[in-house]
Amino acid sequence: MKAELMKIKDLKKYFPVKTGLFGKIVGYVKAVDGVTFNIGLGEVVSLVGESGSGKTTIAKCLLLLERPTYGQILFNGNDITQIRGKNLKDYRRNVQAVFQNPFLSLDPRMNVYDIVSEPVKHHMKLPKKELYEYVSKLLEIVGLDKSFLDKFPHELSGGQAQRVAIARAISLNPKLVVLDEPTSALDVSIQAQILNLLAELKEKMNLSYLLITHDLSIVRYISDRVLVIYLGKIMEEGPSEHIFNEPLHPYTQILLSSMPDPFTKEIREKTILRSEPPSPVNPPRACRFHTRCPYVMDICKEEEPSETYYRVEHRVFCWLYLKK
Amino acid sequence: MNSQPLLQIEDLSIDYIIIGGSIKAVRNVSFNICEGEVVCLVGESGSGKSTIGLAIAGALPENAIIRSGKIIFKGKNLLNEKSKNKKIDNIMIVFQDPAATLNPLFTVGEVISDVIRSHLQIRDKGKIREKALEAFRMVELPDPERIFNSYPHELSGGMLQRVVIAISLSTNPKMLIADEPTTMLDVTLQAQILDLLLNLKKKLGLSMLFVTHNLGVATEVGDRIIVMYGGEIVEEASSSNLIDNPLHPYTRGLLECIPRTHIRHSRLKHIPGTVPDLRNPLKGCIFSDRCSEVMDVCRVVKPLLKEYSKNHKVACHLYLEEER
Amino acid sequence: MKRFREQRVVFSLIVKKPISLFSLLIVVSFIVIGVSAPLIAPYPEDAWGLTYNVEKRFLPPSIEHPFGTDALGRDVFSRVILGSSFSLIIAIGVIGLALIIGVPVGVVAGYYGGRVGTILMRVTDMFLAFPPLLLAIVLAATLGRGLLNLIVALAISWWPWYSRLVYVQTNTVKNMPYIDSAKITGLPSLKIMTKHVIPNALTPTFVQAALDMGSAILEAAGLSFIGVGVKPPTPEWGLLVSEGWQSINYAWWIAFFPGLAILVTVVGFNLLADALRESADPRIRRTILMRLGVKQ
Repeated sequence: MKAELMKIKDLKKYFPVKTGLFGKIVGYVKAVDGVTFNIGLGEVVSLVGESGSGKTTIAKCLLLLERPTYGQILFNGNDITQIRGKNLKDYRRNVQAVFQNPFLSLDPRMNVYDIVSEPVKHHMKLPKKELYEYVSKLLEIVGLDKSFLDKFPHELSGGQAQRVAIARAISLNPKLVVLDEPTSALDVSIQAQILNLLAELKEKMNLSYLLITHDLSIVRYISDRVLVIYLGKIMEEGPSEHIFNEPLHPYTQILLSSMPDPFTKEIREKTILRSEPPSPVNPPRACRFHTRCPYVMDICKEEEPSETYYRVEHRVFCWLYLKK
Repeated sequence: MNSQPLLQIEDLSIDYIIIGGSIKAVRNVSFNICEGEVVCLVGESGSGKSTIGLAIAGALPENAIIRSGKIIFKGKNLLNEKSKNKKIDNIMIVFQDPAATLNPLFTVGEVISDVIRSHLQIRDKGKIREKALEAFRMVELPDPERIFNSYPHELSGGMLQRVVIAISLSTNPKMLIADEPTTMLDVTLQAQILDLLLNLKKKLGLSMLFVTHNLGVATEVGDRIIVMYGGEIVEEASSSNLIDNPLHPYTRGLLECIPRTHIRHSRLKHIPGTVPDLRNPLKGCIFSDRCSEVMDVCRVVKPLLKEYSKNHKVACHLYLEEER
Repeated sequence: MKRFREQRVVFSLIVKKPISLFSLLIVVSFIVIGVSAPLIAPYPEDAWGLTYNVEKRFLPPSIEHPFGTDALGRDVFSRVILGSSFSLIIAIGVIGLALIIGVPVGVVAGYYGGRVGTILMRVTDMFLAFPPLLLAIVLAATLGRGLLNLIVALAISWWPWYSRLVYVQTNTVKNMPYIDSAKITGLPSLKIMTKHVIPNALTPTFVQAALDMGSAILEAAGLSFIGVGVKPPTPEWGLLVSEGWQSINYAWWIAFFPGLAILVTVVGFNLLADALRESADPRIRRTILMRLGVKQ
């Protein structure tokens, strides 16, 4: 059991839907609708889900790019959902991010040195020479040499640009780095390089990661724990080995079997979902997944399943596992 | 192969003109596709796979030049001046982003009617609508009548991709070119679309050239897989042969990079280096600067694509008998 | 230089086509003459309007006076040359001031959105609702004649266009992940706007502004012509045309040459604008590039 870094309690984020000249509110997109989980020190937690699941919104709330509509986010025991000013600045030192497309997450008008030194300049007062040394060291850590310092993002390859983004993210020695689809925009051979780098950095710097992705293969490689999200709610959570070897929730099973894997083509039994995903503005009542679930029962349409612990640290929200 | 292949690509070379030179995107590529066969072109960015697909469909951008080679479809070279004027109504192409392919100002019904009218020379409105609805049913779209009257923005990504496939099929093409059709879709939707394509192949005897960067997807749909790197074919084999016995070091590297969901890696293998600069492709083997098994001859002499065993070709000096 | 990769591409596209090269030369000549005019005008006191030579009145174009002389015996050539300086000052002044007002309004409106954005853009829209030239005339007439008043009047009628342009660009830029990254770094909003938003949102506005200089010159000339712009004896082109208007039948050169100067300069700017717009259009770019490539 790892020491707790972050506790997310009943997090909700609703986006109002407005129409008409006066912007009347006609409904809410319930992007995140009551999510509770923890992130431990030095732990890698993956949020897995498809588009509309709310995983990106959860990340934005943790990064305080959005303020939650409801719920608490405890960092080292303090609720950070309403912080401003100095407290916010301190929090930012500890929680950083790497985004999907490095050519969009790096300012195209700044060179590598400016990009990586920016957070350092803002939070620490280092004299020019020491700043230069510090930034050079950061680049070295991510596998880039000093010649990259005066290059611009458009002169870099996808892998190199993502390394710069990683260098920037670790520049303040954060406790948690949110990784939002960090390798989805990269070629497969580069993906492996970057994943190895991320694993290495985690060990060296005792980082925690919140990995947001739809790609289950990288989840297995790097995560300790996996959360499966569907339409703003958690369906299942457990240590990654359990989730992959014994997925409990029907949605998790379908996700896993839908993944094209060249090595297991013959062994795998495929369950193909036949229907369209519902919209987050009007999610299904009771169990969110009941409209597409191959094992749907009457109770699934009437009442939302509560949490069950199937094993230690492996919980699921599904009537199949609840004794009624 | 008993009869003449449906599509024959002979020694095709394509350049892109840029300021200060040209990118030799495709160099001396030759392969065939038989009737009812699905061939996957697999490669990372810069491999030239998309370029070939576009060339066959006659959809190359303005700054692309076909330097040499033939594209022979049903015995006729598509690159001859005369064929250029005929409509290529036997080969249709499906792109990665369905929303970008469809004009947002027209209903999808209007779009598919246009296509049917111009390609099949049918005037009667009733007959056109019938054919359109038939195409929509073939791609398993629920409620084809409603879809017919919908605008692209009213439909989800998965539905749009089906619509685009339906439009392609409405002209009874002999061959479908799919350029990363599922890359933008969620993994469960991807599984649906791939399943659909396989069903269509069975039902209609459709031939397909499927371009993708995902080896997993390639093994799902492909009878044969052609691996491309830096504008050249490095290996060509049936999917099972490729996975069971990958010959080319690049293919092996690619397979090893893919994190496996059922095994926990300690460290992912990766291919060091970056993709080649195609303004000045390497003289010898295009993979020689990244290959872990490179020999002297590799840097000087370009290995030709030769048959190693039944249904398995490779372009690599490791397998060319004369050098041993 | 690497920061300007895009500009280099555009530049080479422009110099390769005759018309666009020509327009570039016109604009560059205009700037060079404008900057050096006080030094190169053959009759500087004439140019500044400080002389009165009775015996030299209404002389037709000759070698000593290539553009002839005007009603007060002043060398028209010198006055037109110095006029380019004034046009340059007006162009830079008007556009500069319009940017100083318009850009912050647009950036703040775009970045914050919400009520602040709505209010700012409604104000912008109010200004945009007036026919621009009419607004400028009214303002100039109210403020009175004079170079500074002219510049201020034109700038006030001009800034909303930039505000709108910048607003639209800012809306795109603010959703970029690099802005999110800047927020996550902890940078305050003002710093994000100046360091990240403006450099990235400003390019289309900047291009538009540089080319608007031609229109600014034209409008200033128009206002001066009708008498609400600069005061005599300022050798501004519009004013020169109006001064030569009465004698147009027997001394056509007094109004003609300043008018020609206006025409050539404004056309130069407009052709350059077309060339820049063309070079930004990806399809035309590819065709041009293809032709270049094939030649090589």
